[in-house]
Amino acid sequence: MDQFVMGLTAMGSWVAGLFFLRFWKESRDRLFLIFAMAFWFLGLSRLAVAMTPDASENHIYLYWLRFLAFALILAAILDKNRPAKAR
Amino acid sequence: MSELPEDVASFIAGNIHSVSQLEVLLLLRNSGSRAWSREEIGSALYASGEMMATPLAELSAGGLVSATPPPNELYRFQAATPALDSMVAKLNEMYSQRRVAVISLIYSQPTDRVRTFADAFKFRKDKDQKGRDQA
Amino acid sequence: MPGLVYILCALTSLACSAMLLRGYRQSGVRLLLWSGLCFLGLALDNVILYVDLFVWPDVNMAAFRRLPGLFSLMLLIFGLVWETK
Repeated sequence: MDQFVMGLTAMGSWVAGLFFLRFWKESRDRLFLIFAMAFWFLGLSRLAVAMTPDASENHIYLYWLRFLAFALILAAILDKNRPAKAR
Repeated sequence: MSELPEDVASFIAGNIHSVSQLEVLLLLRNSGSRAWSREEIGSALYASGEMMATPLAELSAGGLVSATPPPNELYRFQAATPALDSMVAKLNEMYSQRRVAVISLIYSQPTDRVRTFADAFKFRKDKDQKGRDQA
Repeated sequence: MPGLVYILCALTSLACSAMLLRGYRQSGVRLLLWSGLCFLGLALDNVILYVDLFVWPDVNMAAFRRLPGLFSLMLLIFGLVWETK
């Protein structure tokens, strides 16, 4: 059951990332590219958990993936608010 | 919510991408043949001059506003055709009578939903909510 | 250290949620509502993970600890599909 839910979530992350990728193509706004990558990393982290024999989020690589995803999101927000151009 | 007339609605859908752009357009139209600099427009609308650059570019590309050449760009309302001129007049009327409907329509354009998403992450908001913003 | 990461993730998610929900209140664009709720759920997901691993390490919450994450994403995808062309 756990694996099933994780699989669904990973798939959901993949699809969400795809939407963000499309938004990036439409609007040329870098924020969406970064969000796409962030959601894909989130999906990857679920995939990685599923592939690890002793599936536990304590495993060192796993939380780095998740951290990277959210760091990307933070970066996107900061990038959007850089004083240079109000875009 | 009241529905806007079909022709106004499709004009907005095709030409008006933001509330700022609309306000710039109407500001220029309602000041007759006065020529404004970007900064003057900005300060009339409580925004910075740089934020006016994109709306002004869109409006002049759309044949609604004319600009004198750089470096001292001055902008004034100048509709490329009489049809455009009367459309802007209608738009002006709609905006004063059915402001909410106009704003909703602008915000509901598919690309603008996307843009609104991205804009949500700006700390300091664009002057789209002049005075009404209580964040 | 891992615990700190999950808390940071939760805070980031919460911040995104707040910005999106504020944007929804101002513009009425429903996409922002769904995505704001999604990030709220992701924040919850991170908090639950943290609690599961560090606060109650002996209790295995696996059965339902993954559900908030799934529901959040379902909300987001619903919003993305339904509210954009």
